[in-house]
Formats: sequence, C-alpha cells, structure tokens
Amino acid sequence: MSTSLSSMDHHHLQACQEDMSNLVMSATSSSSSLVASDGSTSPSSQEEAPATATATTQQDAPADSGVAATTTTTTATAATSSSVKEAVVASSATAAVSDVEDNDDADDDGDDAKQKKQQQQDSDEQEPHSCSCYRSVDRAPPNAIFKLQDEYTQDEHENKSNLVLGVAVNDDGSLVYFDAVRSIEKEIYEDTQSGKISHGYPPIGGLAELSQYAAELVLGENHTFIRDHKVGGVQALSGTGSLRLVGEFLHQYHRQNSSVYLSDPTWANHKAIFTEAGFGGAIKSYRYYNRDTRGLDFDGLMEDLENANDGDIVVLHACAHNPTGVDPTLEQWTAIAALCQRKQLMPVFDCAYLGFASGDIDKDAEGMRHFANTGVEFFVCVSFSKNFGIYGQRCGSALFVSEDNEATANVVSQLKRLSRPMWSVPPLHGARIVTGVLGNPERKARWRKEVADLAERIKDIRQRLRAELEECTKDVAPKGYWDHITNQRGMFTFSGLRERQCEFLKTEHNIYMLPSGRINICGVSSSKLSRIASAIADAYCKEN
Amino acid sequence: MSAVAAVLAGGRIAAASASAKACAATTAVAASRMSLWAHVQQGPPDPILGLTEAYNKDTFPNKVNLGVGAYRDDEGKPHVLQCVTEAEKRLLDAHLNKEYASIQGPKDFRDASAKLALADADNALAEGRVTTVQSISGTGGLRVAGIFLAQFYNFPNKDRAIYLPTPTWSNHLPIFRACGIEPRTYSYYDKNTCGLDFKGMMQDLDKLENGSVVLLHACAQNPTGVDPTPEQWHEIATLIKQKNHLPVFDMAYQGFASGDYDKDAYAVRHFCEQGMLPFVIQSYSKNMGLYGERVGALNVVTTDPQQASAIESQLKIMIRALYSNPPIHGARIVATVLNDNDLHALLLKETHAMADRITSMRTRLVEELAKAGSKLDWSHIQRQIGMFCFSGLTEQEVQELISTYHIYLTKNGRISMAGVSSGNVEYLAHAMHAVTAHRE
Repeated sequence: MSTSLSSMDHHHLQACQEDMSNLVMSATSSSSSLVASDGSTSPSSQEEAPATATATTQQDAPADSGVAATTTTTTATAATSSSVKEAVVASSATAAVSDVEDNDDADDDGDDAKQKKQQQQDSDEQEPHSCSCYRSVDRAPPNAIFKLQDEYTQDEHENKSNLVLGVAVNDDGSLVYFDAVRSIEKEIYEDTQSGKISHGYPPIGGLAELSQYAAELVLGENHTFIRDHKVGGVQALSGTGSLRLVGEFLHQYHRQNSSVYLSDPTWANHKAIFTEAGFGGAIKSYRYYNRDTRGLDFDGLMEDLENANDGDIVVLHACAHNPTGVDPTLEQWTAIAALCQRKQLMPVFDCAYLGFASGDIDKDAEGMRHFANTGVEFFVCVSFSKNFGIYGQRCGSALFVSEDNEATANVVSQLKRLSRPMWSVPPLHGARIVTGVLGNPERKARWRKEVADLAERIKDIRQRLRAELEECTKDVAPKGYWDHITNQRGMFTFSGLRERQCEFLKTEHNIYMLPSGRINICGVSSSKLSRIASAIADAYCKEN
Repeated sequence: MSAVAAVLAGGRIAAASASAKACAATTAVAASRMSLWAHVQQGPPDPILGLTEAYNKDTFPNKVNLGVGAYRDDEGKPHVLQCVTEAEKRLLDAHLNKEYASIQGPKDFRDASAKLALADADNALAEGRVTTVQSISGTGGLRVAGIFLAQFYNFPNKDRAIYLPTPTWSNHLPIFRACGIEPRTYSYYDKNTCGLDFKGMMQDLDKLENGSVVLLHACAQNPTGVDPTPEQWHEIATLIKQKNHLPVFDMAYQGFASGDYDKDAYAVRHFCEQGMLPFVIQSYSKNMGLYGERVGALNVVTTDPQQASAIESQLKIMIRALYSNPPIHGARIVATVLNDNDLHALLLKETHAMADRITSMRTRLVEELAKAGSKLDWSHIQRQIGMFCFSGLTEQEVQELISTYHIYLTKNGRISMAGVSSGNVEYLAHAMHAVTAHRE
C-alpha cells in the first residue's frame, strides 16, 4: 500500500481514550480523525471490551507501560515501492555494513538547496527562545494501564492484588529469575573481566547462534529445515522489534495493498506496530474469542480468514494467546494451516510465550511445526522476554521459514538491511544470556525444567482458582461455567468479567485487572487466592 | 519484471500451481510450491564486510586493518573501560531484576545523560525543558528523532528534507528515508585542503529555506574527522539561528574527540546558549566502549516543561511501536558510572586516554611520513580529530595499499586511526609514502 508521504494535512492520531477533543496534531492538520485504521470509528482503546481488535498490552511494565494506542498513518518505512530494483538501488547506496561505523562513498547525490525563501513565522519574534515548532504538539493521553498500575501502587488496602501485570512473578510477587540465567550472567561478567569477551559490536543481524537456537526452539533441534537452511533469521529487539522489522519487510516486499489480520482481541501493540510499519488503514481483524464459551470462535476465525484476500497477512499467536489464553488445538491448527496454504496467506507468528502454555516447548510449538511440515511459508517473531525472564534486555528473533532456502537467505539479508536504520545492530547482553543457556546442554536442560515448573505452577493456580470459583458460585453459575479458567493457557486468562465488573472488583475489593477482564494468573498468590475467587464470584453474582 | 512479481503486483495471487508453473523458468527451485519471496533479491554485498573478510584471509604477517570502527588499544585489542567493569560488578552484586525499563528508559540514566551533554547550557535542564529518552545508541536516537520530525515538524514546504554534510555517516541516509524524510546535502569537506569547506557550508545553509532541518556532527565528524573551530561554530550558529533552521546534533563521540567531554559538547551547548532548540542524539558506543550494548539518548531542548512533557509522551508512542522499551543493561552501566563521583572521574580519565592515543598516532603518522621522505603536506592528519581520518588518498592509491602492502581501508581513503598503533605506524607511513610518491 502506498504510504502517505505527502502533505502534513493528513496526520491522524489515534489515542487510547474516548475523549479526543484535546488532541490536535500539527497546526496545519484539518481534523483529528478518530478513524481507526481498520475503518471502524471507535477509538482503539485499551479499555475496550474484547470485541474490539485492540485490547491489552503484552508488556505491562509496572512502572510505565506503554501507550498502546496507534499513532499516525504516515509511514515509517523506507522506499515505498516494493519493486526489487528500487530496493537494491536504495540499499546499495547505503550498503548494509557489518562495521557500523563504516561509510561507503557517501558523497551522495543530494540536491542543492532551493532558491526560494519563505517568510519567517510571525510568532518567532514573540518567543524568548527560537520559535518552537512543536507548540502544536499536545500531550498524548496517559496510558490506561499505567494509570491502573499507578492506582494500584497508591492503594493502601492491605489485601490489594495486582492482576494487571504483564510479567511472570513468583508466589511472593517477586519477578521470576531463572537460575540458568543467573549462572550465565555471572559467567558473562567474568568473561568480560578477563578479556575473553568485550562489548564490541555484534554482526548486523546479531549473534548468529541466537537465530540458530531460536530456530531450534521453534522447529525442534533436529528439524531438517535447520540443516537445509530453510529457516533463517536475525536477532531483534524482543517481540516488538521482531514484529516491527517483519512488518517493515512485508510492507516493502509483500504484495501491495495487502491487509494485516489481527485476532480479535489481540495484544494492543500489534496494531500500532503494523500501522507504523506502513499498514495503517489496512489492518483488519479476524474473530477469535467467543464470549459465550470463553473459548475459541473457530468457525468465526475460519470464515474471516476465508474472506481475506489471497495473499493477505495474518498474525497468529503461537501459543498462550495474549490476552485470552485461548489456543487452537492441533486439529484446528491443521485446518488453519491448510486455509493459509490454499489462500496463500502470509502467517506471522507472534511467539512470546513458548513453554508457558503446556510447559513443554515442543508441544507449544506444534502449531508452527505443522505449518512448516506442510510447506507453508511463514514468519515467526520470537520473544525471549518471558521464557527467560529477561524483559529489560530486549532479546528476540525474527525468523523466516520456507522450503525455498534461497528465498530464506534473501529474506534474511533484507531483514538485516532493514534493521540497519532501526538499531544498526541489536543489543548484546540479552543475546549472550540466551545463547549462553541454549548453547550449553546442561544449562538448556535446567532452563527447560524451570520453564516447565513455572508453567506447572500456573496450571496449579488455574485449577485451584477454578475449583474455588465453582464452589463460590455453585448455586448460580451453570455447570462448567468456569472451565475456561483451566482450558485457557499461559500467563493470562480472560476471566469472562465485563468492564463494569472489573471496575467493581477494583473499587470494592481492591483487585486490579485490565478492563477487558484479563488477569495475570501469576499474580494470584496462594495467600490471596481465596479472596480473589470470592471477589470474582461476587462480581459474577451481581450480574447474574 | 518476473512472472511472480507481475502476478503479485496484479493484486490477487494466482493459485499455487499456476504460479509455480509460471515461475519455474525464473528460479531454479524445484519445490512444489514457489516461495512468495522469489522476487526478493539478495541484499547488497557489504563493502566493509568484504574488506574485513579480505583482511582476515590475508596471511601477510604485517597486515594492517584500517577499516575497524571500534577503538583498539596499542596492541590492537578491544578495550574495556575500568569504570565500566566496576559498574558491571556493582550491578551484578545488586542482583537487579530484568524487569522492563520504562519506555523512556531509567530516570537516573536520562538525567545523567542529559547533564553530560548539556551541562547547564542556557539553564535548560534546571528549567525542566529538556526531553530525554533512552535510545538504541545513536542509530535509534536518530530514527526516533526522524519519526518525530516527520510527524510533528512544520517543514518549510511540502518536501520533508533533512540536510546532511557531504560526506556523512552512510547510515544517516537510510535512517531518514525510512522516516519519509529526504536526505539532502550541504557542502562540508574540502578535498583540496582535506579540511572544512567553511565558505561552501555557510553558503549552502544560507540558501536553504528558513526552518530547514540541518544535521550537524557535534564533534569528530564521521567520516572525515574535520570539525569546525569554535569561531566557525559561532558563525554557523548565528546563521542557523537567523534562518530559524532546526539543528539536529549527532553526538557520537563526546569525549572521544578532544578527550574532554565539555570541549566536545561546545557546539551543542553554544547553540542552546544562543536560544536555539536543538535535538541532541548521544551515543555511548565509543566514549564508554559500550558498542554492542546499544546505549544512547535522544534529547530535545524545548521551550518549557509542558512542552517537554508533551514531546516525551509522543516519543514514547513511537518507541512503543518500534521496540516497546529500551535495553536496560547498558543504560544501567552508564547511569552507575555517571552518577558515582569516582567512577565518573575515572570515565573522564579513561576516555581522555583513548583520545590521547588516537591523537598521538596522528602525530606519529605525520612524523613517520616525513621521516620516510614524503614531501607532501600531511598536516590534515593532525588537524582532523576523532576516530577517522580522511587521508586524501585516491582510490587507486588505496587499491595499491591493499594489494601491495596488505593495508586495508575503504576506497574513499578513510583511515580508522584506531587501527594505527606504535607497532605499525612506521610501516603504514612507508607504504603511504610509497603509493603517493608519484605525486611529488
């Protein structure tokens, strides 16, 4: 799709609050449009009920989590043309260099300045400093999740509970810090001290081993694709960076005018990422969460993807769907894969929770593996934030899988080229942690066990929570009503509560969760589980 | 246009089998399903990688690598600063978690970083009117700056352009293009003097429409090593202020140029003192040797705290859609060093020492060239500053250096002074003399 590079008159800001009246973009903008990029007129809001395409953040940092709202539809991509020739010309003028300080002959073209002058703006004289050109920049609305976290922090109730978190915590609320990671960090420090390693630049595309190990996690160590170079990738800044990089690649190289399909609901940042990558206006959603069953709306999903145009892009969650915890079964994955193949849809797997769903990496990856084994080409955006507990290190991997290994090599080379104007090379430390663990069989085994234990704890909490909820609502709730608590997988669960019930839980019970009803299961500590269960039951009863 | 590309451009993709048949002739892949990406070509070969590979393969015992983009000590080894190691030790002992940093990065990092760049220039920091966000080193800072400018800046006309010196760091171009901002140039390097084309630069900046975005290298210009003098900076500032241009400073070498952090930030602070509102992008890659940890900051000097806050909120939205939040490891190291009196003092010393070694190699190279018998004027090597030196060698001369003398550098004649050591400076001088003797 063409990117709107033209005039400043068409900037649109999407904010995450309903009241947009205080948002004016540039002085020349004609209107601050509230049109979401999927064409709907409801603002993409974090507080929206699950029915909308944007819901909750994946990375709800307790301090300052992000503004999940999308921004403008103006491009952040490079050459708008997807033609290969232009891309090659553009890239040869810049040259993807491994030494980030290098110049090739940068005595570039570059026009001389034009002759015409322009009047100084009147306002220039009035300011004590040079006229700021940003007087029209208004403060972006505060992030709803941040606000919620803030409220939680200021809440003085002794039994308050924070279920808003986006991170895995232990029963005592401390951040999960794997032993495998702890030991490798020490080693990294010692090796730096002794001069064995330094902080020097990694290659463009990051540590080669990282891409290799990421591929092994996704496809399995002995998958033939690895040996045959039918999978390749680059290191990127965690899941977000991988998605953005892939998004920019797709925008340049994928079929023009493609739409990007996001699950409804999905991680709120998906929309912002793909909008900024150039797909603003072309973002659609496919049905996913069934409010009545609190499970997968499989028929809706298949129907919506069937109605997509051939060649459209579809973002799938590999496992432990955020925010719902609802995952397709292997059978359902098989059907989805067949549809993708038939319609040549381009899948992009958001893989941020490998190991969190079942506790077993291989089992969690079975959907993706099926795609690979049936010859579907796809991207995988891997995040190591959760399953290594290294959120702040921003380590991830953007992988491409294809039976055409030449295409794989070419795609990877272009991902490298595209990463140059984003971050040049990715950060070293997190990659050293991950490769240090995955590259050592003993550490890797230990790590797998720690992930499995964490998943086991999550399952245990789910079971107990469900049991207590059933007990608390046994006279009012239909049989099986709370099954979703254990059917859903991973760190997050869609409780089934509506926004006003969540508000009620906050104000009456000092229990904080996202307005979508999403709760972080890890945040349900054993000491507060009963209290939380009865509070949720209370909220349920109020509506039923 | 290949059959596949044509099909793809048409809008609807033909059924798999049809496109496979159509494409069978265009690729050698016999796979039953044609890759959707058959039209994607291999990215361009990497000139520096090629250079490095050639260097690595070379078995000549006295080979020299002048293409290295990171500091090397006199033994040619990477250098880890003591203050950094000490900071890392403290961080390890502190058992800090790996929790997300906030989108804009840790406050202690941001405050310390802004202070390092701006000090008390125009009282901007004290007045709370500077926005500072952590960035992915210089590249990330420039990228976010570009996205912000593309969205919010009132460009003088319909074109959205940024003016870069000729030559400039090659990555500047794709960064701004990726933001939808067209890179254009202004005169900078004078091939005849191997110095600054000051007149040309002033003329070009004057010709621009008022309110143009102008990128300046704060110090140790990359790739030429040619910096304006303080007096020239004064004139440049006056002109830019008069034209109401927006100055964007790429400050990747603060401390690394002269050895003195304050001296190297002179231009940046002077612009602030003159009441201008520059962008200042910092990198800690070179001055703290943190290359791979990707630490930097984007500072925007604004008119008041409300505006600073508004701009920060907008930058956060942009960062969120790029990588959510920045890597904390490097930022914590920088914050630990800058906020500890002893470590901060040690940093100043260590950066100075690196800069001094570079400066001494420049001096020695010129001396050795004279000793070797060269009658040419090599004084520009000493006038230039920072990691890089535009030697003035022609492409042919460079080629000869590579093939005959096993000295590797880029064809524009750029020498990375980090690759020069007391062990090879004599050899280098002899070789440079040999290939340029024909000029005398």
